[in-house]
Amino acid sequence: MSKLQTEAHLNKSELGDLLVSGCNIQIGPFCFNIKTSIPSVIQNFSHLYTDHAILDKQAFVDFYVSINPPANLRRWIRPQAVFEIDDYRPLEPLPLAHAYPLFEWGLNWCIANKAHQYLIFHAAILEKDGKAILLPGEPGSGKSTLCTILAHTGWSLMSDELTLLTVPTAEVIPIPKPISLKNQSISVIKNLFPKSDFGNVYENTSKGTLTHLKAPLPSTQVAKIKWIIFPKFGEHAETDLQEITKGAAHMRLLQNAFNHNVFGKTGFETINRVLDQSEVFSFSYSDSDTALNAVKEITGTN
Amino acid sequence: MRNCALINLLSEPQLVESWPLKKLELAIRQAYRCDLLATLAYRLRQVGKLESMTNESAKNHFLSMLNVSSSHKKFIAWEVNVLSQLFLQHDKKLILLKGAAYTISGLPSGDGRLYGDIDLLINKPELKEIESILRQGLWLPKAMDDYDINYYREWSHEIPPVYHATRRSVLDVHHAILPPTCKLKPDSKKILNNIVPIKGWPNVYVLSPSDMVLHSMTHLFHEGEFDHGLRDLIDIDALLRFFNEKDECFYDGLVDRAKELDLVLPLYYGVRYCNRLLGTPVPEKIFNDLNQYSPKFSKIIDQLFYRALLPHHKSCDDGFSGISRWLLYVRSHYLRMPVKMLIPHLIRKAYKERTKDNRQ
Repeated sequence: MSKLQTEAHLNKSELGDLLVSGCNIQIGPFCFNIKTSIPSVIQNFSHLYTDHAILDKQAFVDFYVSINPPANLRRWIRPQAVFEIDDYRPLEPLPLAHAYPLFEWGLNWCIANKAHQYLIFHAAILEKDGKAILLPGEPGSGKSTLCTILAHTGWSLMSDELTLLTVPTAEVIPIPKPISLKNQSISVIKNLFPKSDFGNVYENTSKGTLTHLKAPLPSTQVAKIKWIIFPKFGEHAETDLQEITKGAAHMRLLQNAFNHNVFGKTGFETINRVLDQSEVFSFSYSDSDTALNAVKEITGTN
Repeated sequence: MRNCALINLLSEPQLVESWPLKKLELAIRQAYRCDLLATLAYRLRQVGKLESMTNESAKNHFLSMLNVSSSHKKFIAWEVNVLSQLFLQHDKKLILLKGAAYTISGLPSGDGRLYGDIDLLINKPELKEIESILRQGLWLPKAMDDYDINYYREWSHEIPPVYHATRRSVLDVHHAILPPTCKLKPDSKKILNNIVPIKGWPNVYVLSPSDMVLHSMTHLFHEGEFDHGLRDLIDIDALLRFFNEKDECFYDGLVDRAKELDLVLPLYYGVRYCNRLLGTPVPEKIFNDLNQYSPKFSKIIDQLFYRALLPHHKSCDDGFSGISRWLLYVRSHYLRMPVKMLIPHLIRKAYKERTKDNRQ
């Protein structure tokens, strides 16, 4: 895929008007038609998505999504927000105050459930000069924290959550969206990078406290995975960096692949291709400097 | 009748290149809604118009669903193999219905078919025995409340669905093709007597061509919910075209068999709406023969079915779509059970839905 076209960006109030009637926004390889009348969503979205191109009305839309109050009593009493993809509700409604997190989860739902042209990993991924570092990890593994740190030190963000891989060629397609930060990692990152573009903070969501951060360097090019790190963050963890075998790595990647069952053998071969071209490590750490140094050492970059 | 982009493209996939992009986009949206995107992708590929599609985004939606559909196909073959082994150990026949039957016997209706459950037909006197065999294969009943269990046991032609303890796949086990309370009384024995073996499988069977078509039609026109209405109609259309091409007397045999099984009314509907919505070729004399069985208020019923059978997408809806679907929902229950049972049952179902909504 070529570089994403970046067109003249609209100012925030114009974007707000467009969102009310439905606006075509390029997010990675997809065009989302996004429609919302919820002021907090419009405000946060306009803040976090200014790097994304607005496409004209005639563009092919991959997903028609909306987030709005429901057309029943819950519009008024204990108000809710409902995420829909073309009038279908894939996720449960949430309190109106959590509309924006629901919206981001909804976008991820569309990609994870509809884009089976790609092998999709639950992993963060960043690249430098077309060489990518993949960070698969369970929630709480510190993958978002590490990803955010790298995104501030010269690495371009391809995705903080969904890694899209072409099959069988194993190229990564960038889909930079705001990085989602949870709980303790919010204060860690705010201390490290106070000047970054943070979105609103949402308390008491199903994943705890949540905020989003605009990636300083969104990636616009396809890349090949060269390094894979399975991070494990622990407050008192001893630093431990170990190269792991390709077999063990394959099993762990499978656990992080949303849709390998869709591909069967070609998916298996695609993962092998990734492993053939990559160095693979497991890494436990307790502070960001150690993490950064380890990545520098592994990748030989600055 | 409304013009539906999806139906147009399914009927004439070779015309896709002349379609404006936004119209193709609409057909894709409609196809998602009724699980027909993989079928559409197959048809486009068959006429050589998929690989040459110029819009990469549109093409990716088709490729994505083709990947999903071929994984479903593998899954079905694998699961049927496991079931076949299990049944073989106990010297039983495995009789497949609907989607699994189309795919395993290689019928064109299987191309691009997606699956929720696998449907089986069993001989009712063997019910207890089969349930025990399924338990040995780790197929377990889903948790449900007493009312629902009783409903299945007393009033349904299926047992409560069973799912596999480790794989989570679901089986629908039918012991008849209609509920015992239904006004139509097809004799299951006659259907079981005519099953045909599938080549290459030791003990796997499907219904005879006529019975397969009649079952598909009966199922569709007794259904209460039409979310997959168009997909089921597309299945029937593909079966009719395929069997008619293989056997020029197919339709005559079909009508005779429908009379024998007390399924003339579903045949009337099936042939009528396949022809009207999808242009299925049907000999004139078959229409004439079936028209004498047309139901009362057939003009109104047409209007209900035309709406319910279109994709349930806002682009296909008009002001009467909602009420049409609701009336057909009530009708399906009316066909299925006596009125004195129907009213409490529907109230109970509505109440359950409502409380489910409120919990959210």
